Amino acid sequence: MSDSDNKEVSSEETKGENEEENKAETKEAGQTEEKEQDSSQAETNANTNADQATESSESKKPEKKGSKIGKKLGKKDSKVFKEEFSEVVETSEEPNPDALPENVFPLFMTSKTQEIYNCKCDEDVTEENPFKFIPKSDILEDMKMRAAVCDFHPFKQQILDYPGEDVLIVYDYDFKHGQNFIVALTEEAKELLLKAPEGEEGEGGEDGAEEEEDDTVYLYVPPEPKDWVSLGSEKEIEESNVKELRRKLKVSVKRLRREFGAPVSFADRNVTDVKDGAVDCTSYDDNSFNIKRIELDKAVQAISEQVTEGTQTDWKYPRNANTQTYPREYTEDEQAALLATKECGDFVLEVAFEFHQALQQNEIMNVFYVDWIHLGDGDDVFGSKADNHLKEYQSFTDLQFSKDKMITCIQWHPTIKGVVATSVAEKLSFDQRIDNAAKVIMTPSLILIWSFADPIHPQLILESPDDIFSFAFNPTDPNHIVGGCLNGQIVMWDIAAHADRLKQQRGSNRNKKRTVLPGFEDPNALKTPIVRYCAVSSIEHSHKAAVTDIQWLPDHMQINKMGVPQENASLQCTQLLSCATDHCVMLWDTKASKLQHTAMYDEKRKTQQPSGVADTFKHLDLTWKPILRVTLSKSEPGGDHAPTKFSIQERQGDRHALTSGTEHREADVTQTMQGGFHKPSSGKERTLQGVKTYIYVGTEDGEIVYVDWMPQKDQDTGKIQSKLFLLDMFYETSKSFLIMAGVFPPNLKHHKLDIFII
Amino acid sequence: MAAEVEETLKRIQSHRGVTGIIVVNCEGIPIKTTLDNSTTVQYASLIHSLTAKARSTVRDIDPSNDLKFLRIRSRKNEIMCAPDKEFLLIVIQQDEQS
Repeated sequence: MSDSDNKEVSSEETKGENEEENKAETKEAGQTEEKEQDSSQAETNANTNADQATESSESKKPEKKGSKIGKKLGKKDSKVFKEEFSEVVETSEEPNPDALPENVFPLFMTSKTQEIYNCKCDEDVTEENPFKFIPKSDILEDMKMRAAVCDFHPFKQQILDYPGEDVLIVYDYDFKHGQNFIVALTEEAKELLLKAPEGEEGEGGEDGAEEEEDDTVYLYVPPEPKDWVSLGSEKEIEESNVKELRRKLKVSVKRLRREFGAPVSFADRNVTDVKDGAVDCTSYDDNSFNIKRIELDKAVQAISEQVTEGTQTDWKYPRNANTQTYPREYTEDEQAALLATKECGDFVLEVAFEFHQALQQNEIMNVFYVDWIHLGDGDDVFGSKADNHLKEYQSFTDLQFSKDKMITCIQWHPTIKGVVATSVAEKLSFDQRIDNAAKVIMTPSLILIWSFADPIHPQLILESPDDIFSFAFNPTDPNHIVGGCLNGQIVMWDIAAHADRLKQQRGSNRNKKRTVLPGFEDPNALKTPIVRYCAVSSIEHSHKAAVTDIQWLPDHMQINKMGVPQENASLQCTQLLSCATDHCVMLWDTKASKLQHTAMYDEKRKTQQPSGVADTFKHLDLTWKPILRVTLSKSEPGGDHAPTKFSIQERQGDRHALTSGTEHREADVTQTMQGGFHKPSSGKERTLQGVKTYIYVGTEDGEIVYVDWMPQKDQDTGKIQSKLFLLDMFYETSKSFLIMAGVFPPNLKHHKLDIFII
Repeated sequence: MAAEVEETLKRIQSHRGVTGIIVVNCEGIPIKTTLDNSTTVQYASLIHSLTAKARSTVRDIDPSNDLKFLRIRSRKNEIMCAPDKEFLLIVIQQDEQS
């Protein structure tokens, strides 16, 4: 009701205000510019319903305002306040969009009020967020507190009547509605206001739209340009604009024309003379430089790792890993064919001479023999190498006895130094001997004994019945000499009587030098004595062929009839062995047998030896028989071995066989002195165990056989025979040779044999 | 083979110290020998090549010259060889004096 009243009032007031406005143009020219404009708009809209509408709408606003006015001030002060509020109302008559909805009134809130309600301008509420809900209770409190001072006082009743709890306050930044705030006093208004900012335009628009839709006349309203608000951009533009601050300067540079192209001379200037002669621009770390190098070009070089490698070639083609060669050879036929060619023959004949030359040169002398090195060799006294050459030292020849004679055997005198005995024989072959057998022997068969002092005259001459082919001195008694003849006989000599003659070695003039008393001269002094043999062996029992070798048995042993070697107590050589080409080896004993011994003494007185002949071996003469006979028979028939030389193990002087036995009997010295030849063997001598009873015999055929002189009983035949062994090894090589010398090795353990074969 | 040639070779062999004679043809294959086969073959091949080398040496020095006789003296023996266009005669002599 009041509203309608207010409406009327307001409408009147509005009209009046309009009139007043028109009147007050001049007064409020500046203030009401807008109003005029608005009024002009309003006038324009007066014709239409819009006018009404606007009026109505305007009336709404003023109504509200009027209501405010009405409430607040009453009608009395309405003019004053009208003027004040007329502006407000007029302002509220601003365009329709800005027309306040019903029960919405502008509210001025002082800063204090703003503080109280926390709705400070531009702080709590902003243009963008103009809404603020203030609790009703707070307002009421404030009203109680501040009463009339409170801004909400004019609306006290309405606020009390406000149904809701919160009252909406809308910040009016632009003072569109006259004050800085708008308050919605009813719920509906609140709703409207809430919607209003959004749709204020919308409302306005709606209203406008409604109005426009209602009106069929469209009115184009050009958009009003908004006032340009300076944001500072024009300053930038101003700055960038080039403005002439001063007049442009003009500079003219001239140069003399004649200097163009002229030679120019430059001069050096010392840099340090002038202050700014050199300008350094050293590099420095610029902190403001902050360009990061994102991409950097660097040089890259690839280096391969060092790798040790080896290569090996594959042999694709075959190659020789090993080679083996065979020599090319010709067959026999090819060789013969080649040899038979003329070229070969000529070639050989041609070059033969040179070969002979070369070979002979080598034979004559050794060209590489360095004389200088061997120059002092002959001056050495001891230790110089022996001269291999044999030089003739002395020759013994006797014109009478040894001329044209053959020396068959030569022996040294066992004791006297420088005495040699040689047996000479006729130089006749076997056939010649047969032819000459019937003739009387012209020259006697001799053994000549020489002394080195006298090469012309032999010291002694031994006479023998037949040519001696082998003889031997008795080692223990050198005055006894035994020899083997051509006919197989064994001959003995005793030269004891002439022994002193042999001892005289120096000078055949010795006899001359001796002062010889006249009358006592020895007629035979200068003549060489001839000694006749003193014993010969029995012809029947001796060898049937020429005795080729004869040796005395060593003095420490003797062999009995059974061939058992026994100890010789007398230590005198009494036995001897002889071999002949009648395949026999005989053992002779010079001691007389018992029977002979006794008989000898009987006969001794009866018979006498021819003068000059010793009777030492008288007991043997012509009756001498061998004790043992060993026949060298061959296993196969066709002749037996004809021994030429023999050798036995035992040596003269080597007495070890005596000690090898269990007992050792000392030699009986007394027996030796008496000459053991006369004493017969006692038969009690002990057997020598260590003596080998073999004789090694070299034969005429070149064979070497060894025979055991001790006959053993042959089991098959029951005969007592000596076993004979043949040394085969020499058979082949020496078949064509005649064994002339054989030496039995002292040490038979090795069974080695030193054979000298000529 | 001719008796003359045979006799000549015998005479050579009868010299003091001669241990062997070998007749070799131009290719180095032995034709006649007094030694055993293995030694002969060895001597033939070795001496043949050595003689060829010696001959080439002599002829290199003086092309008009030619090798006539080759003597090799060693400690134990001496080897003498006479080369020819087609044949080679080798004689080995032992050194008795040393």
